[in-house]
Amino acid sequence: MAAGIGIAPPQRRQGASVAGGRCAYPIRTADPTGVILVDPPSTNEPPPTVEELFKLWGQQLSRHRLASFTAAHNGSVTAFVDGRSVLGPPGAIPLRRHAQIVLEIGPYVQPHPAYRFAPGL
Amino acid sequence: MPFRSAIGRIAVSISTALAIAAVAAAPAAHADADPASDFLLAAPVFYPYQPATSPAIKTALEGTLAKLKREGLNLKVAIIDSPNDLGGVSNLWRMPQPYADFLGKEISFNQKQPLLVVMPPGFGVYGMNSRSALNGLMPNASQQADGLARSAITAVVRLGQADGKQITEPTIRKEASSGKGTPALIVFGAPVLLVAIAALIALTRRTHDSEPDQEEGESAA
Repeated sequence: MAAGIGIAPPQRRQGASVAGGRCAYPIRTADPTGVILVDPPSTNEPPPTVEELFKLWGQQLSRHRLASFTAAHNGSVTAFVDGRSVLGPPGAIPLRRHAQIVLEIGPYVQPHPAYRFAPGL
Repeated sequence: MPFRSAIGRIAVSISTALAIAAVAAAPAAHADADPASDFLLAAPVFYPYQPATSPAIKTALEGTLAKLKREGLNLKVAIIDSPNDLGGVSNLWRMPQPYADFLGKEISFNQKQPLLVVMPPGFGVYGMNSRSALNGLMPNASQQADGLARSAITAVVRLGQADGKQITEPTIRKEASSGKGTPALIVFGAPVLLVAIAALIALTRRTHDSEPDQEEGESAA
């Protein structure tokens, strides 16, 4: 996943990371690892979703489309959260703290069961 | 554009696996799970998240890799100081060669990507035949990220030399210490202040000397 999603240009780059920009959305990526930084919503607001992230990124996400890839005939995008398969539209998956979300298109690839986040996250 | 200050931000990991049928014959694909595989697509080195590697050592390591690249060896380096640097493959912690084999395949496309992995217990090498050049060399884990990065420099030079490249160990610039010693304002400001005071004294004396003496003028008339 690209670094700098949700960070407005001009972006300040440090190697593969984006150190900052003109301003930032509550959902953003600072590096290309796929770790999403999310400002916690206020008490009455639901958490943001994967669909909101992809909209910020400018990429498509649907049952049959993942970014520029389209599922083969009768195929679909499969989603896993914390190693478990999730039914329903992948865009509806909420971005909860330390959720490990894997989106796949094509033949099955075993998702990783755990992810160690960098200290402080 | 909406903007909210980050108050206790949370982190989510999203990775995508694109297992295209055309590569089904290749070794089993794995979902993109470790940070280094993403960083190394756009940078020559993956550094540990914490503690930060000092800029002078980073400059020396990346400069050495740039020289090797100009000579035809595009070597990449992953420095792993804790399981947190491995993301979804923390099971490979303290296993430098298995991790090098794993990561090497992730970042290789049409050909094997030469790769050096540095972990506290040792080195892993992928995509090169000169692993024996590192025999007897152990990473310096006593200084955490900086120690491992210094060891990476030595290992990179040895691998480069074994590959027939003209490369030597660089000098690592000493960085100015911060928070110790005399503050710059006093070091540079004090002489300027003294010069200003001296100039003021000189000006005062000159002004005093140029005023006429009243008693001398009256006696001459």
